[in-house]
Amino acid sequence: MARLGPVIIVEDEFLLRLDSAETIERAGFEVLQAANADEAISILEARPDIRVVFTDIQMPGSMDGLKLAQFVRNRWPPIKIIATSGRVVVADHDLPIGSVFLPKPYRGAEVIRMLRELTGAA
Amino acid sequence: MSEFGPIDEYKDLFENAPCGYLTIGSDGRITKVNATLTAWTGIETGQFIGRRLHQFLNMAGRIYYETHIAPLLRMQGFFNEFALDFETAAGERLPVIANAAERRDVDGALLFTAVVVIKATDRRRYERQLVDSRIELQKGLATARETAELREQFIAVLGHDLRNPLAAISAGARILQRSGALQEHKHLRVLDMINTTVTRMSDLIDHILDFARGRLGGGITLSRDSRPLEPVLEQVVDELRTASPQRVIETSFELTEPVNCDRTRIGQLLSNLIGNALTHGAADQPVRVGAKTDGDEFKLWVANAGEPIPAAAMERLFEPFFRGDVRDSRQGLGLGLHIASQIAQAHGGRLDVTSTPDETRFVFKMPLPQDAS
Amino acid sequence: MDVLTRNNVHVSGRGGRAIMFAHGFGCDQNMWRFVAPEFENDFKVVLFDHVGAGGSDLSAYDKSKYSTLNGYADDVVEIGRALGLKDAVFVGHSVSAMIGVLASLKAPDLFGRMVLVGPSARYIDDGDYVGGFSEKQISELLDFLEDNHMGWSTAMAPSIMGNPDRPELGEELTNSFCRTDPEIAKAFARVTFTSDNRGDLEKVTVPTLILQCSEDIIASEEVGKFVRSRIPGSEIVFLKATGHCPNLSAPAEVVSAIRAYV
Repeated sequence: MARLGPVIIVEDEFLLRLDSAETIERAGFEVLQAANADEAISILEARPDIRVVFTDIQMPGSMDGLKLAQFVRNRWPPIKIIATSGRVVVADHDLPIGSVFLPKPYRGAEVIRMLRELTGAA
Repeated sequence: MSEFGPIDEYKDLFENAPCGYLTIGSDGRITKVNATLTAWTGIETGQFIGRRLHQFLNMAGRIYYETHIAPLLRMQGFFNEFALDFETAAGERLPVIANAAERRDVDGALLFTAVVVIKATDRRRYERQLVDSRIELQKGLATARETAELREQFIAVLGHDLRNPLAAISAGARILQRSGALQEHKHLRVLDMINTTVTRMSDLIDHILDFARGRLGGGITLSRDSRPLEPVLEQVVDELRTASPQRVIETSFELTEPVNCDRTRIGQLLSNLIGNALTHGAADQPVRVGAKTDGDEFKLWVANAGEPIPAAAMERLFEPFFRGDVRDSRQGLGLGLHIASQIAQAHGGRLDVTSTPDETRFVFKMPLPQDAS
Repeated sequence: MDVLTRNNVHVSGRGGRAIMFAHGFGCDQNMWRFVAPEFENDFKVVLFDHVGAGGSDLSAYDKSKYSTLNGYADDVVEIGRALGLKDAVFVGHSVSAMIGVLASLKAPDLFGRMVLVGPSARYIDDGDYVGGFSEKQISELLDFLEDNHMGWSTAMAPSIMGNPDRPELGEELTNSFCRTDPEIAKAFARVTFTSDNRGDLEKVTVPTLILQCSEDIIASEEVGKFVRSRIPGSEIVFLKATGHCPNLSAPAEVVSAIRAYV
């Protein structure tokens, strides 16, 4: 069966990342995982077919989620972006145009819905 | 009988007036100064005559004279109640209040300027103190405002930082649950308990943060509207029924008018009351919950059967951290009733309790506005 | 809020060329009352109040905008543009001299001539440069301003108006000229007396005349000469008038000095 996506989830908290990845996989998407922006960029370079980046905003490392979003938009404009955070509320203009913000805590169903919309899947 | 002729009398009035007096010629140089002023300043008449007024002021006074007093004198012919600081011969400061007026001839040409000064040490000091206290007050207000903002931020960040690991634990439990790797009933129960315990911890965090906000700051803030309250109350009861499936909770809701309140907070109040009833009430008797709008009042009550609350405890029931007899570590921090009473107060209402061998009943009453909208 | 209302701008006179008068610290456009009318026959005369002074709109006062003289210079340019001024004459007294210098650097086409009355590029002494004041003296001034409430207390005036013992007051409010908000006055004093525009002088491209008074403790002859030495092609006239406000104490001298230059 053809899988939807692929989607890469960028989140430094292991259990949260794993839980979200499993949820998204069970909805039929191919999911890749990264614990920080640097890892995410390496994976994005190796997999040009990735369609959506689902990233936490607060992350350790060279870039936080907002900077990563900007980087991805500059380098690979067609990739869609979902950003999430429990702490900050992000204004529209902080994210690249066409990106979506999802506040934590989020429900699995919400993420799935957003991913389906962004990838044009049924 | 006066020894002095009329002219001498006026001269004496001038020289020894209870104020300092000087006149300044049209060229800006002092022409006359009276004895009082020379005595106050310790500067002889000869030192005054021919000099300019600003030479006897401190630097601030000189600048002020040049930028304010002189121009104003020129434009409106007089200048009243301005403060000046003379510098005495001993190098000390002599604060005065002064009036000045120009005298012109019929053609408008300036003849001289008369200046009267009154010693104003006490008054100036008093005014200075008023100004200083006002400045302190404003600084205090600014600091209080900053502190309040910092506290809000701190509480928000703290809440997030405390809840994050909890979210991770929940996620972990979900992962294990989904994996199907745990088959034994006992192990599945463990997963359930992990979730329940996380929920309890989350509630504790909410309570503490509410408490911190309320005690350290200005009380619980509400965001009120008049949307339907009953669904919120039903949901609270449902959640508690799910968490304690072996207990009976009976409800009787009769809300015939809209209730303007913070629905989340009222839900929290109800949840705390029911939780308290479940913990302390007889386990084999139902907990009864009711809500009613009654003309000018909204009433919400929770009643349980069981041992009555001891009289000594009744007085302290709504105090923070009061837990009565510690029977059970699941009671929590003892903040539930305190926060409930805070919410009641924030709504302009009250939370009362009665406790007899027949029943213990908590009643929340809140006034409803009477004008028809 | 349009700029002409905000700065209480008054335009009068008939003439092709415009002459704009800018008041200095401590007062408002009223200080030109003996000078400005003398130009109405052949000039378009422009008078205004800096924000915070006189009849200007106090609510337009913005602490950060007016924390440097640039904020005031921006207003001057705005007024000039609103009136469509080109090649006008700028007459700036005291701190407005530097405000005018800054304005001409921002909008070089605005003014064709500048007359600086009692200018100072910096008031506080600095090494070899003699500004005339120490830092301590300036901070004493700021404290002193707190002690004077001239014209600021609206509660005072009504009790004085209509006082049968003081018939000479008539309808006029006490000290109605040069009114300003005490907080703004203090801030303006701080900005004025801590300013340093020595570096801006050499960039001026507009022909400039300096009118220097004798015995002016605010802007001494040394300070005036410094300004002249740094503004390229500028001239200086030493007035017989004494003190800091020759436009009030010796208006005729000021008028003829300006006329000789424009």
